[in-house]
Amino acid sequence: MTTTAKALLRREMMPHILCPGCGHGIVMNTMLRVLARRYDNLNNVALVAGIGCSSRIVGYIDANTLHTTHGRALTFASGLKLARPELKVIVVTGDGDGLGIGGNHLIHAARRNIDLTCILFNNETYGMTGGQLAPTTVREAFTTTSPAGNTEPHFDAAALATAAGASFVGRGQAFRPDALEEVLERALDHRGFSFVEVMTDCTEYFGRKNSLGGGSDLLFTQSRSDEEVSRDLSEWPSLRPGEGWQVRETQPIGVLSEDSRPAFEESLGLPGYKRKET
Amino acid sequence: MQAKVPQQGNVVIAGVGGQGVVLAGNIIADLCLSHGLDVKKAEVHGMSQRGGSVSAQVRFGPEVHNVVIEQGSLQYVLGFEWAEALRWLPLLAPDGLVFASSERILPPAAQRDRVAGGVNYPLAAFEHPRVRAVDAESLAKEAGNVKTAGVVLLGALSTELGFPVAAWRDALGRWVPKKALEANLRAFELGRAWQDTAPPKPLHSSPTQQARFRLQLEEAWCKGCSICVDVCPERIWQLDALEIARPTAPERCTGCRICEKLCPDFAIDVVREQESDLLHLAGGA
Repeated sequence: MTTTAKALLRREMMPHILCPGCGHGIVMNTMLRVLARRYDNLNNVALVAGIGCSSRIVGYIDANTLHTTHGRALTFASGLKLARPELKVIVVTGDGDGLGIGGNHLIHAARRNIDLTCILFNNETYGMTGGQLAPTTVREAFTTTSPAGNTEPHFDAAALATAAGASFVGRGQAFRPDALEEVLERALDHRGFSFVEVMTDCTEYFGRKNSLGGGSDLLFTQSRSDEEVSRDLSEWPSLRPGEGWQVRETQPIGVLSEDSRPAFEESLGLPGYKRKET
Repeated sequence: MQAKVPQQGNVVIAGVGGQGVVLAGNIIADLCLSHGLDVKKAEVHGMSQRGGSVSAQVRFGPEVHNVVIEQGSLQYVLGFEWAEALRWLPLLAPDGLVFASSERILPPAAQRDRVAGGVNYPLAAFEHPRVRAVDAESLAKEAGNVKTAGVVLLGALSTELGFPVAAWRDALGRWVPKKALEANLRAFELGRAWQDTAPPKPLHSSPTQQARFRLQLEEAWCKGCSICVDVCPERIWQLDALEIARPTAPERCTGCRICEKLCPDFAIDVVREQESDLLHLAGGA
């Protein structure tokens, strides 16, 4: 990690609790690089997280951080943003946190188009609580609570956010940090609710229970397709849905949708936002 | 001045995997066929995926019996990569002509030494009287798509291989992807004007990499997940007995930073050391 990115860490908290080879670390690494490039210090950045492995990462970043209750990161963040509209608020959540426990809050934050960036770490399981079935677990995958294989269909988080009205939706992968960097940059540039789903790995539960190996083996499963069809990202390869392998679905990465409808703050005319009619 | 339509000729297109060598061969072959000429085309590919050699030989004439181009009878070489073009110099006819892109891609066999001057790129052949260096990469960027570098060289070739320009453009239209046609036609025109834009010799000063990289490890943070071991293209990282990553051959580091970016524990830091620092170190030792 570069010196400037490392300067954003709370060093006394390191090393972090994430398991060896955990994809969350790679995503956090990428986030820090993006933040380091954009800000000298994070005094005007607030990171809000719920509960879960992904949400733990805010504790290691030397910004204004808020570790909230399970699934409620977006509600705390909405309140924070409306009270302090000058802050750049970034919500870090996981698939269990943001789609399972807090799914309702996600769709309403998207509907309001509140000017937040929500980064959802999708590792397809509840990692911290013991590897239970999550709403993002794909069919046939084994988890602690689906010992015979999952029989339910899963959420496509990006499609859900788009349908709920998020004005920016992107997807990245831990395996392709440069592409993820570009998506995160554009999400942070966006005014309005920007949602980025990041495919990451749970080595200890998802990887182990599905015999996918740990660390790099699991990481490489994200590279299953050679299809180079990119969505609105000039340089980076994207993956076509349905290609590749049954347990870990490959999904398109890149900026999936973007529009410029007025943000919630703009319709309220909050300080720093020019009033616009919705 | 338009040269007259050639009745026979031998052309080699040489490059590395992914540059469109085979496509360029197809365009030339198609062009010859559209003039009622007999064409034989041979391609060498397959080892091409990671920058290996790819070449296409096109022979055309009233009747062609053999695909092999004999020594001393090769009339035109299109080199999509500098060193690949030079490989064909021994076959070149005395009045043959080489259009070589000044782009340089190190061959895989040289990659073990691709750090810091380990590779001596053959620049001397720039002085060869029959070699024309074309900065196809920059011209292609100017045309709007760096992938059109091959077509820039086809443009340069079209000034010597005198098929009508309209026929060249038609052949391009039949072979390049529709959505890229406009950029390719621009690239073709820029290539036709190569004499105005070809870079002066010697080509921009030798770019042998001088930067070296130092690998720093935050030992206490490494959890031994082995991601760096598996992703490093130079195979530099190894886990020791305590399952901590160790750089075994740090001098091979090319500074791609893939280990740094994929380290979930932020333990790896790739630090670029400037040439001046190295000189300073050497002087101090």
